[in-house]
Parts: sequence; structure tokens; C-alpha cells
Amino acid sequence: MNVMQKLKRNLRLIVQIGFTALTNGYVLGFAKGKIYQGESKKICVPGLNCYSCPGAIGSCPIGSLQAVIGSKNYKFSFYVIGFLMIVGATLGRFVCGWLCPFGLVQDLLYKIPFVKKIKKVPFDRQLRYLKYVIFIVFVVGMPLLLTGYAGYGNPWFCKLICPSGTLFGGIPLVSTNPGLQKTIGFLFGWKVMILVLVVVSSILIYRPFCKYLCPLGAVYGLFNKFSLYRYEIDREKCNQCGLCAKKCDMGIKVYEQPNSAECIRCGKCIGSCPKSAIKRI
Amino acid sequence: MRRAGWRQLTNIWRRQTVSKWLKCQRIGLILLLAGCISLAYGVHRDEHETVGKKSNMICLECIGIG
Repeated sequence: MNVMQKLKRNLRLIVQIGFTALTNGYVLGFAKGKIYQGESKKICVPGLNCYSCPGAIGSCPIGSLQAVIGSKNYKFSFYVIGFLMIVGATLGRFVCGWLCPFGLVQDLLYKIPFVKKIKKVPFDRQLRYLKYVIFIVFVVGMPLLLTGYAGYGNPWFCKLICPSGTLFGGIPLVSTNPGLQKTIGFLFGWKVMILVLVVVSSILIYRPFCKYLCPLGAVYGLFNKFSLYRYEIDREKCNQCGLCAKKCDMGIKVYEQPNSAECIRCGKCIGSCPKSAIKRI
Repeated sequence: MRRAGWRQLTNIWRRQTVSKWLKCQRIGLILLLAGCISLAYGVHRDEHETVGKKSNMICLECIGIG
């Protein structure tokens, strides 16, 4: 196999690593235990990338949405919703498969060998709706309705659930910042426990956080049917052999639903189709 | 004469391809336009300043402290 073939084969991994490095490029932050403070932090990045990660040079759209909704001045965020619509209408869940740093972490964990992988999770179909519930309750509802005496709401998803914040923000900051080490308590323990659960399940199941919990994936998934980048089945070529569905780690019957809300556009189905019936449009 | 005919042909092809693409992508394009308008209105309301203010401080809730 020559270099070009190797590059083509690992293109998605290369893009994932490159984009993660690009959006978390403030390397000094990791050494100093401080976060980047600049104008670029006003701009959202497409993936679930905690803005309290020492390297982050942009803002997480889910964190930003909660920050604006929970602020005293605004009860709706045209800025973040507009950003999500632009990214969703252009790429859909391509972001999850190619640009999200936490997606990359899960992909790498799933590559760990010598562990029997779980292909079918009990109540899989029902659990897939959980991410929509999380979006409505923790990202929109609670920050909007549960406000303190000053009129500010908490970013409840970040506070209680987000393992990306713990991994990219919490652990690097707490381990390098002695001031923060003194303040950790029950909440930090809770979040570390969620992170450990997600990490362990990611070794056994392909992208459990994306499938069942991620509110950002839930939003982008709604755009998958209409986004400019999507798949199309050539019905004349497709003989419904099911090879694409077998190859799909997200458990989608691609020949029936090429633009399912669960598809992260990894492209494995395209490579597996012997008739070249799946096309990108 | 031959050049004019070729130009006419490519123009028709281009028009058909573009119109086919626009028809195929109309919902995506409407959503994209709506997103641009929404984002611009959000910037007009200075929402990006709130995002900047929040993200330029360590978010204690996000890292599991606050």
C-alpha cells in the first residue's frame, strides 16, 4: 500500500486530529493551567469542544446556547441557533463524524483491541431518543426556567452531564492549577464518574455518547435529511444486499434511510457497497 | 459560428445543472439563509459578547466545580 492509499484510508482520522488540534491550538494553556482569552472565543466551533479546555480558541455551541439562554438579558439565542442552523444545513452530522473532538476520543477508544464489542444494545431504539430529551430539558428548559435571584440560569448540561468538559477542561485545569484543586467536591466526583462510564462504554460500544446522550448530535441530526452534504441511493444499482447496514457502526439500514438522523457520515457504507449505489450529493 | 454554438450549449448545460442542484437543495438553502439571518440578528443584539464573556472565564460548572 503506497502513501496516498494509506492517507485516503485514514483520511477521516487525519481530519479529526487536524481539526481538534486547530480548535485547541493554545498549547501554552495546558502548561500554565489557564484558558485562552481572546476575541475568537466569541465565535462557536462546530463540535462539542468545551470552552474551558485550556487549549480552546473557540466556544462550544451547547455551552454558548446555555450561557445566552441563562443570561438575564436574553431568553433566546438567535446567534447560537443561527450558527447551528448554518452548520446543520451545510454539513448535518458530518460534524460528528469528522470534526468533533469528543467523537475522535470515542473513535480511538473503540479501536482498543482484545475486548468483545457489543453490537446490539438492549433498548437501543428507545435510548436514541434520550439525546433529544437531554437537549430539551438540560440545554434549553432548565437554564431558561431555573434562574437564581439575580436572574441568571446555570448551564445544567455542562454542570451535570457533559463528559467532554471534564475530559478537556476539568482534568487538565485541575491537575495544573493548585487553586482549583482546593475547590473540588462532590460535583467533580460525579462528573468524573460520568466520564469513566462513557470511556468504559466507548471501548465496548461504538460512540455511545453520540448515539444516546449528545444534544449537539441531536440538533445536527434533525438537519441530516436537508443538509447540502447528504447521501443518495441509486435505486437502479442497489440490490438491497445489506452490506452497507452490516458495515455501519451506528446501526443504520443505509439502503433504506441514507439520511437517517443517526448517520455521522463516516463513509464506511460508501466504501463497502459493491455496486457503488451510495453517492454523496 | 462554431464557438457561439458551443457557448450556447455550455450555457444550457450550466443552467440545467444549476437549476437541478437548486431544486434538489432548496430546503437546505432556505435553512442556510434562515440561519444566516438569525446569526446576524444575534450579532446585532450583541449575543456574541455574552458568549465571549462567559467563555473567557473558567466555567466552573463546565469543569465540575461550580
